[in-house]
Amino acid sequence: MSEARLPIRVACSGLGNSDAFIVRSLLRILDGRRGQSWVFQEEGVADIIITPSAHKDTDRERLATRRKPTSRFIFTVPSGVTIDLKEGAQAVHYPLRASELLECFDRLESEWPFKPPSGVAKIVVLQTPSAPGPDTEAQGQTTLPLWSDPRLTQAPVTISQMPTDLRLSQMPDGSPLAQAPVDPRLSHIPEGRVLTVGVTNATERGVLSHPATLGALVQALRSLRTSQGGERPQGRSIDVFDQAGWIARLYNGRNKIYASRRFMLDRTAEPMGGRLFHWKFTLSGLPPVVKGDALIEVDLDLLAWQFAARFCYDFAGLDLPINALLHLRRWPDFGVHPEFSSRPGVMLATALLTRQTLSLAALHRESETNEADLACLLGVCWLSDWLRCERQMPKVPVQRRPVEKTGFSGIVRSLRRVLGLSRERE
Amino acid sequence: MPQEYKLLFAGGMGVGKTTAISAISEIPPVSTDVANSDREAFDKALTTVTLDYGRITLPSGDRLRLYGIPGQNRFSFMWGMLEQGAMGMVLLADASRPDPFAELDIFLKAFGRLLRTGRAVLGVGRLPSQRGELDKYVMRLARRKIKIPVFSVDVREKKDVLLLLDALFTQIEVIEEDYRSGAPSEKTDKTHSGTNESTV
Repeated sequence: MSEARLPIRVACSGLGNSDAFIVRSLLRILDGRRGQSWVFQEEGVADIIITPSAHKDTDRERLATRRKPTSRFIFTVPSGVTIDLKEGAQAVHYPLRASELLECFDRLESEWPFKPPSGVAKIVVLQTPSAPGPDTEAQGQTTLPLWSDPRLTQAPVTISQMPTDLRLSQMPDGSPLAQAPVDPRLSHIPEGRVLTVGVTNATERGVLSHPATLGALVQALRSLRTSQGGERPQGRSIDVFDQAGWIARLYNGRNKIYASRRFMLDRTAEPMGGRLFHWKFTLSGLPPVVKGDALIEVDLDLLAWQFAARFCYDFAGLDLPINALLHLRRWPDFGVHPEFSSRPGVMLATALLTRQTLSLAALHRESETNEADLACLLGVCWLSDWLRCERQMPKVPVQRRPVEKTGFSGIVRSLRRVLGLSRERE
Repeated sequence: MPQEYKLLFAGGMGVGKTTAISAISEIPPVSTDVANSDREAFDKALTTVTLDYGRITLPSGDRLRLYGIPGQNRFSFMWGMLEQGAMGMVLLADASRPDPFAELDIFLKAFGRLLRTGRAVLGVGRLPSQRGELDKYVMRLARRKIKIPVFSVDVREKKDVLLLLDALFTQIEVIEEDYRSGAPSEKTDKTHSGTNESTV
């Protein structure tokens, strides 16, 4: 196989777990949507290495084991810092933004397969300021699930547009929290560009954002929608921690997701990110810490999509009962996520599930959707309370209907080819 | 012998039926546009009366005729003829209209039989930013036992038109699969096979 047909392997070196997670998620989203296949490379040499522009010695040694003569670099650069880029190298701002990474990937894909640069491909090292270090989790500190702290279960929280979005003003027992400095890594991000959902914990170094909180938030909405018969809540207060048990099940045995310290939604990268600001809500029903216009409006359907795209990537993570029968009450709005619906099998899986009741295995087999996409679809529908899950009944003989052709399947196949909607795999 | 098929685009005035047909038709849509005499209701110089018409010819010689059906009640006598033998319907709605649901109801009632087969899709344009707007359309359909894909779209974008068609085609394929597998499905209209001559 020629090198041009091989996937482009992307690795992170010297970055924190949460950054690697962002890159991995982005590549997962890209997979199948581009002419070239892209994969995240956990170990060994890679074709593209994303690395801080400033290195510690240990990072440099690690990097040496991952590069090859043709490897290209994407350097993460703190805001306001300029570096000299050697031939073929790219630079993105830190913290990572999906839009910038995508632009880099576009440029690099056009140059694939890479040739050794004519100059010397050295890593650009800057002395000041130092690049961001790995996350606290990567440094060995432990982030406990929020719900494990009984003091937090009734804590008042507020979401604002500020980087320190979800903030505890005081503990339920009335004891105040000391003021925490804003995480310097977030301070240069334009207001409104990043939605951070988490808790400011004064005992730690600034923002301690936690994606699990978001999951609890989405689950809380889901339970509200269920209780209101599918209608969306209007201005209701919800306790995000009340339903946190679900998130514990989702992440059963998956401690690695706790390494992600913030949930980034870049409105540039995500055209629909603007929808995040459509719904105003206050959590826990207590007076908000940040008042008035600082409260943001959040479209929780979009949060469900974001959440599923990032965290629902295999069947095990869905925590569905074995042999459960699945049925979908309605279609998701693919109009806001056309890129997802165009992935092989996603549309078919949705149509099958809205018209039939199927086991996960049967759905997977019939739709030929890859596991990650199917898990994401089911995750979105589950979070939105559109997915019914029933215990499988003992098999009984089914009286089969007579086979009767509708007469349209042939023309549909032809029309798909003519309109460029063919689902035949290349 | 080449066969003829019909695909219907339905919706009230100004929802984008002509635009949607233009996006996929091999010929410029043949529109029966006239000066809009109801500028107060809808600020549009021309509007379609009776029908829009477009066409796609397949390599086999088969033809798909595309009909845009406006919502004027005085032409409702044609709707039954159009529905007969149609392979499916792309229903369009404009959420910015004063009463979009009333307009939608006209089509839900007139084409209920076809819509309940599942061989249809609803695209809603100009959705306001408030949450839950699309859900209202889904529930409106559900009350009439219509379960079809409902997407927020902008039919000025060809990709959105193709998205609707992709969903419609998938529905049609799965309905056929229902028959093959004997799996539970919605009640399906069985009078819709392709015809040698278009009925309209």
